[in-house]
Amino acid sequence: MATLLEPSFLRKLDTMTLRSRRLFRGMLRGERRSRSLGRGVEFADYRSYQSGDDYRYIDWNIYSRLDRLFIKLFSEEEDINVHLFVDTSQSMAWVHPSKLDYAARVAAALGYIGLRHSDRVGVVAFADRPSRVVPPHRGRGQVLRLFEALGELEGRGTSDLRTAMWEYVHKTHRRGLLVLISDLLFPNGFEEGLKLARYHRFDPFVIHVLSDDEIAPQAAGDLALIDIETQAKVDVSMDGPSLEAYGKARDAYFAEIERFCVRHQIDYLRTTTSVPFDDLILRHLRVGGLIQ
Amino acid sequence: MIRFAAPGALWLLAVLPLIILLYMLRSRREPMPVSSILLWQRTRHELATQLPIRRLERSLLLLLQLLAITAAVLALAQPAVRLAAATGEATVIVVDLSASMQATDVPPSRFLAARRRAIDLVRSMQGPFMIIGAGSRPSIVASWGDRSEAVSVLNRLQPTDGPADLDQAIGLALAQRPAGRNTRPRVIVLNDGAGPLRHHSAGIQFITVGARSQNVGIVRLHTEPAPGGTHVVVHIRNAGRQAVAVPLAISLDGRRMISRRTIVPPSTTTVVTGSVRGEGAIKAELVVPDVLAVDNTSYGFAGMARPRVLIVGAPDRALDEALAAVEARRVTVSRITPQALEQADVIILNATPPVPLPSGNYLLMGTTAPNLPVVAEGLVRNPVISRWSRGHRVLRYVDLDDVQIAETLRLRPAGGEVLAEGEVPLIWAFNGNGIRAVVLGFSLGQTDLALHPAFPILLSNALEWLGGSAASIEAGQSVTVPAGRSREARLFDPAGGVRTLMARNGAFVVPSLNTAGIHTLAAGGGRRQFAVNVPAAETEIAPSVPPTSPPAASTQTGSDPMISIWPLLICAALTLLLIEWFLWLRTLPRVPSRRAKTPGRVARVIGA
Repeated sequence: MATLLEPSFLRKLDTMTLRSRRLFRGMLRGERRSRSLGRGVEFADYRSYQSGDDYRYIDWNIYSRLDRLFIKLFSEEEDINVHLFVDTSQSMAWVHPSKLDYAARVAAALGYIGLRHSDRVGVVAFADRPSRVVPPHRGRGQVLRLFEALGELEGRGTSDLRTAMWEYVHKTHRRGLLVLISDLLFPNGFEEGLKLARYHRFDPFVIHVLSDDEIAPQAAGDLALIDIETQAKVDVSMDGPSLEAYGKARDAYFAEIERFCVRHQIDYLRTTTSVPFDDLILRHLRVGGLIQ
Repeated sequence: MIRFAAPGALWLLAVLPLIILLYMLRSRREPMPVSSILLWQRTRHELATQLPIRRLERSLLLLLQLLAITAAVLALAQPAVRLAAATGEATVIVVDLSASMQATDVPPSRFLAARRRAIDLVRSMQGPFMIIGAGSRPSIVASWGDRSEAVSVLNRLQPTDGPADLDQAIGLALAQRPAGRNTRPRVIVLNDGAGPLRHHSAGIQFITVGARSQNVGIVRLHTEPAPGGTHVVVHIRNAGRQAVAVPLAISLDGRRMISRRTIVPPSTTTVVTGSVRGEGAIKAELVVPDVLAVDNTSYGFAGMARPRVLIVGAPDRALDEALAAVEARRVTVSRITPQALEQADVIILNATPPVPLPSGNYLLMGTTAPNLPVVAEGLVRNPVISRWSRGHRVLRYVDLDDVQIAETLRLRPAGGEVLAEGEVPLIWAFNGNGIRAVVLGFSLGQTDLALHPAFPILLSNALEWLGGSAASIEAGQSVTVPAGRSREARLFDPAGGVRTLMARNGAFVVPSLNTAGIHTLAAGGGRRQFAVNVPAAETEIAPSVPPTSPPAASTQTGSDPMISIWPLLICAALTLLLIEWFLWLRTLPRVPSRRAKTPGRVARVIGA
C-alpha cells in the first residue's frame, strides 16, 4: 500500500465518493441512490396502496385528507460495481515514469474511494485480453487485496481493447462504472471496445494517460522508430517539418477521441505522467465528475 | 595586401561543399524503440523520409562549422598582411623605357600612363623610394629618397627608342638595400610586356600597360652596293591581326626616291626592295597612322665610303679576293706604326705573333693578343664545328657546315662571347677597353673556309660589326670608334644636340644611342655617321603579363614587415567551434515551437 498511495493521501480520499452518470441496480444496500425504490431514506414518489404493502410506509396524513391509502416510495441506496480496466500492454510500461505506474496509482485511489463507500470494486488488467481479473468485491478489507493486485501489474504484450472488452463483458454480469485507464494507442483502435462497453450497459469513464515524450518527442536526427509492441518500424527524420507533422497527427487523434466520447456519452479525461498525481485525483477528477 | 606562405592549403576549402553535402545526406538511421508508432504512421505520407538527400535547412550550426573550417584552412595557408603604409617599406619602382612604351593605344601613351601610375603609387605609400629606368642598360635614375624626390624624378623620365633589359633591371632592383635595412625591397615594375625572366619573379608586382597589338613598323633596312647605285631592302612587319596597306617612302638625303604601297598580311614580314642612285643617308618611312610612330621610320646609308682594311701578317690570296668581293678598301703601309693603324677602320691580323693591341677594331686569324681576355693553350687538330651562334651579327647568314679545319688554337676565353665552337672555342668576339675584336682560332691556311660561300659573308659581317663601315645599329647600343691622335670628338644627335666625348684608351666610346636617326661623330678632320634604328622586337607591342610564381618562403626575412594573421584565424576557428558546440548542446534537445503547440495536459470531455 505504501508504494502506491501514502496514508496521508488516503485520508484525503476518505471523504470522497465515486459518481456514475447512470443509476445501477446493486445487490446490497449501499451508500448511493439506486434505480430500486425501497428502503432508502430519500423520498422518491407515491403510489396507491396494494395488498401486501408494508403498513409502515402508508402516508397517514394523506389518508386523513383524501381518505385513500398511499404508500411512500423511497430510493433504494445500493452499492455499484466499479470496474477498473487498466491497460497493461507493453507501451504502458515503456518510459520512466511509466504510464502503467501512473495508471496503477490512479486505479488504487479510485478503488480505495469505492471500497471506502461500500462499492464493489474489481480490477481488470488487460493487454490483448484480460490477463488478470480481480472480481468486484466490497468492504474495506478488500483494499489490501486491491492494492496488492495493482502493485503486481506488469506491462507486456500487445494491446487489443476490443478483444479484451468483449471477453470481459461476456464473463461478468455486474454492470457498473467502467474506468478505462489507458494510453489509447491501440493498433486496432479504441472505438469498438468502448462501443462494446456501452452496448453492455456499462458506464465508461476514459482516463487517457500519456507521457510527455508522446506529446512532444524529444529525440533528434534520423531514426528508425520501432514499435515495442508490434516491432513495426517507421523511418523518421526528427526535424522541424517532421515534428510539425507529428503535432498535427497528434492533435487530430485527440480530436477524434474527444468527438467519439461526446457522441457516445463517455466521460473522457486526458493527462500526462508529468501532471502531479495528487492534482489529478483531488482536482481534475472531481471537476471531471468521477469523484465527488 | 594579403600573401599566403602556403597557398596550397587553400585547396582544403574544397571540403566546404562536402560538409554541406554531408548535411544533406541522411545518416544511417539509428533504431530507437518507442511506445507506439501509431501517430508517426499517420504522418508518414507527409514526410519525404525515403529520399537519400534531404532539404538543406537554414542551420546556424552549419554556418558556424563552415566559418570555423574556412578560418582553419586560411590559417593553414599562413596568410600574412603587408602593411606598407604603416611600416614604410622600401620600394623600388622599375619603369620600362623601351620604344614600345611610346605606343598611344593607352592615351596619351603607355609610358605616360605608366608614369602616372607610378606617381600615384608613390603618393599612396610611405618609405624610401628608388627609381630604376629599364632601358637597354638599366640604371638607377633616382637613388633612395623620399616621396617628393621620387615624384620629381618620375616626372622627368622619358622613354627611349631602344629596347628594355627588364631582367637586368629587376636584378638591379632586387640587389638594392636602403641604408640601415637588410630586407629585400618591394619591387614594382611598370611595363608593357616581358619575356622569360631569369630572376625569380616572386614577390615582384607587375603593372602592365597596353591594350592593343595592331602595329606596323620597319624592322630592318638593308643596303647593298649594286651596279649604278645602291640596292635598298626594307622589311616591314605587321604585328597586328589584320592586314594593312602601307605606303612606303624612301628618300636619300631628304629627296624622295621611291614611293611604294604594299599590303602586309597579319603577323607577317613583307620585304620591299628598290634602288637608289647617289650617296647619302637613306630614310625609309611608312606613312601610316598607327599607335607606335617611332618604328615607322628607319635609316641607313647608300654609297658611303667602304671600310678601310689593313692586313698585317702573311698575305693570303683568298682573303684578298674576299675583301675585294665585299668592296673593302685595302690600306697598304710600309711599316706598322700607330700612325699607320689610324689609317684603317679594321685591322686584320693573319697568323701574326701575339702582340698587345692598341685601341681599335681587329679581326685576328690564327693568333691572339696578350691584352685580350683570351689565351691560347696549344693547338687542337681536326676540330669539328658543332655549333655556332646564328643570331650574332658576325655569323648572321653564315653556314659553317662542312667547313674543315686542320689545326686551331686551343682558345680559353675569360670574357667576350664564343660565336662558334667544337671541342674548343673556334670563333670568339670581344668588345671592351677600346678594342673590338673577332678572333678566329685558325688561319686561312689551316681551313677550307675560304672555299665556302660562308667566308665572304662572314668577312662582310665582321667588317660591319667591327665598325669599319658606316654603322647601322639598334637604338640602345654603344659604339667604340678608334680615336687615333684625336683626344676629343663631338657627337651630333638627330635633333641637333651636341655632346663632347673624350678619348679613353685610344678610342671614343659612344654611349648608348637611345634616339633613332642619324648620329654623327666628328673627330679631328673626319666624321663618322651612325644610323640608329628601333629594334625589331619593339614593333611587337602586344602587352603581356610576365609569368608569376607564388612568393617563396625564403623571401620572408626576419625583419620583413609582414604581419602573420594565422594565429588570429586559429583563435577565430576555435571560438566558432566553441560557440557551435555550445549551441549544439542547447539546441539538441530542443524542438522548434513544440511547447507552444503542445495541447493541454489535462483535457476533460464530458459526454453529453
